[in-house]
Amino acid sequence: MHTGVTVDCGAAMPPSIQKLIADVPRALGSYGPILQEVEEVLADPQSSLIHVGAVIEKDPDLTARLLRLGNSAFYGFPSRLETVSEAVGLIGIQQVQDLISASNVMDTFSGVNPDFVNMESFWRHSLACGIGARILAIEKRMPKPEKFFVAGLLHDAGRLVLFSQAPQLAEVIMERAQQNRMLLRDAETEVMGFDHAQIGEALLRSWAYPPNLVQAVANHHHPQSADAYKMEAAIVHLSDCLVNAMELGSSGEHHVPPLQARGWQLLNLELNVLESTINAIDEQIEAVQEVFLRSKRN
Amino acid sequence: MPATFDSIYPDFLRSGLGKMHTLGLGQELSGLFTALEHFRRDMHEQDSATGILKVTDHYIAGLHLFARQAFYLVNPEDFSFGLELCTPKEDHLAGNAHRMKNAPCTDIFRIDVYQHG
Repeated sequence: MHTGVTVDCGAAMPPSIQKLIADVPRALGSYGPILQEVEEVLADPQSSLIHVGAVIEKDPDLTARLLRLGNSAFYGFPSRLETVSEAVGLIGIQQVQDLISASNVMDTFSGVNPDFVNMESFWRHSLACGIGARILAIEKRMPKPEKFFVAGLLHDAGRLVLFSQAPQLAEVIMERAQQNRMLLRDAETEVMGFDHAQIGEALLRSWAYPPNLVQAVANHHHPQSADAYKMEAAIVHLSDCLVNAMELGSSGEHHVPPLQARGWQLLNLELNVLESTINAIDEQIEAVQEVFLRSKRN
Repeated sequence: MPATFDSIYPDFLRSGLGKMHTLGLGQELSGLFTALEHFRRDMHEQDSATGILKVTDHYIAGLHLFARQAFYLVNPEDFSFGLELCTPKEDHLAGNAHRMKNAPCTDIFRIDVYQHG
């Protein structure tokens, strides 16, 4: 939803990050009550996967999404999932919570002015980045690869804060980037003194996201600068670069952001891994987009 | 933008990665992304099919994938086509481009630009 709060860009001083995120609602979205109920069930030591499945099945839309995702190329399970309990069992409770939570964030920013960015294109870019980050995380044998999907999905969330909370300022930034043929994030820094990655960092921190995910978003343009969780940041950085180069959607950026050589060195991957990652993103993006974008109930 | 639009950049990225992998140039990866950004920037400055093809020719040639490259403009009315750009130029002058049209795809990089109007 769009809160309608407008930050005056005519003021001498640009708004602070805290002011920008102050009016963004907590990402409860339309699945908020279900998430809360799932957490209550999990808090009960007597609960089981069947109980969790029963809560999710109360929502037919969420049930359909979860089963479609579970049966898609994204997971590539050998047998077909028939029930939510099966899906939760195979995907994992925490991972399912992460996926529902990510859907909620997408709901939160559904009202951004299309003059700034085509939201379908924005989420296509973000979903593709999430898919790529998850594949690279699996390749690097990182724990909980679904976290990387969420990190990729939310890596440009700071830009949505800017578009929704300070539209006039966003316009100034986009014009500057276009006129000077510069990266959008460089224009953000010139105008505001900080960029969308820092806004995203503050937003996710305020939503109590885990620190590795917050750091991955905060440092997705310069993973070498991360104090901690460098690998997480490098994975999202590389995936973002690949997806930009593939022109899969756009978060408003019209240039290919430079790949940071030190981030690439940190990952220590073979080039053929990138080729297979690109192919996998291509294979999965339509199915994932179908799950996350096509069946939105609002 | 027509539904059949396909961007050349993903193919450029894939081909570049494949070439670098073959040559063991993994440490130069950032250069490929820089080249892609320059490719895109130069392409956006073009306002004619010929200009687009010249830029494309330049960057594809940089990948050292093909010994010869030929570009044809296709008339959507009757799907007739004519050679627009050919490298090396000597092939064009010598009439070799006609033969290139039917050459195996592995030998020649060919882009058909649909010209409207």
